[in-house]
Amino acid sequence: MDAYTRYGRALLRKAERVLRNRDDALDVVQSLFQDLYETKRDDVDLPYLYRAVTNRCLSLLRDERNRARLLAENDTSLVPQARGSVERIDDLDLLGKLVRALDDETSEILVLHYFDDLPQEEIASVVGLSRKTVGKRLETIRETVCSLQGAPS
Amino acid sequence: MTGPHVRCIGEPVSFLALEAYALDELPPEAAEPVRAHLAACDACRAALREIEDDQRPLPAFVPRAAPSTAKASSGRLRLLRFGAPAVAAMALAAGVLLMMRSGGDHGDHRTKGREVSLRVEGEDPSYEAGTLAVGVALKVVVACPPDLHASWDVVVFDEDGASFPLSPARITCENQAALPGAMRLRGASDKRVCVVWDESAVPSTRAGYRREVDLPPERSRCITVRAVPR
Repeated sequence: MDAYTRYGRALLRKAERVLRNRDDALDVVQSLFQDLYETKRDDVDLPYLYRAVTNRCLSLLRDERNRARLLAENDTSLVPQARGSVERIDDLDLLGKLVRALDDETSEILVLHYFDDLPQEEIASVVGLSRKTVGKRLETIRETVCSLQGAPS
Repeated sequence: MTGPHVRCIGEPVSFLALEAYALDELPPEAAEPVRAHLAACDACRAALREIEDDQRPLPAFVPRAAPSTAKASSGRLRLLRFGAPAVAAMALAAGVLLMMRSGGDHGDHRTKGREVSLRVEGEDPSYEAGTLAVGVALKVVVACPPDLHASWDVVVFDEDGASFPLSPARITCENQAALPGAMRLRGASDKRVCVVWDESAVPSTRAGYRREVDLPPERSRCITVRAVPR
């Protein structure tokens, strides 16, 4: 599959940033291409695949058993250092709790903002919301982070 | 991920843009500002270098003939969360509170020879069958064949165009399968509430859905929700 050859590494890097696990990242990427193969879909580009990987990573993190395994195998070397003012969410346990507390769309925004470094305008374009709404969702994420960090684990 | 920690000089170039830049897939008008930023920013240049230096062998992808059983896919089906926080949905007209009535189905869209149907329900316990109050949290419920494994999205059309009040989600098809989340309808005009499904298991491309005729007829279903003054 040409798209796998062309985009595979980029998608692996993306999945590894979120999951911190090379094997699970590879599983996410290959299962995506398996689905694309089964549906004979080849009109895909990088933004589309990036988004699909985001959703699959979030699905893994929402599952309690997967989350426990990812926590046990947490490879922090796969998380790049923050380049800008947005700090990474470097606590995988917190990330798992966040994606279970937030709705799907806000969870996607979380990944785009905290892991992919997308600015608000690009996030708005990707998820089909206004920039103002994206800003509100980011505030929701920050409030949820504070709430979860203040709560006993 | 190694070396001294340096900060971006401004707003970092996103990883998506860096990957596209490395693949030479950015259009010229997008590539130029990235190029200019990289010329001045050590942090983003280092991030690009890590991408370009990542030449590890890509494990071979050999498609399986049987349906996928990868855990990422199966996990998604297990993890649907119903009753997620309500999602405020549509562009607002003047704040006139209306009652809305669920209208009749249109079209004859089928999948695999079987009917997929759609209805909209109020979550409010005082919900009166057949009427839907503006501002009330509404759920979208579909009936679909159990062997239809798809990602579902909701598109609402009115005079302002298309809006997408819910996140795309995979559901287990049955007679009454509620899509996760809720939406609120506002405004004084009739709405066309549509579901569109995609068996490819990746998100639908929303950008192409500006009018109802843009929806794929074999993979969509619509009903009219009519505004009725209270």
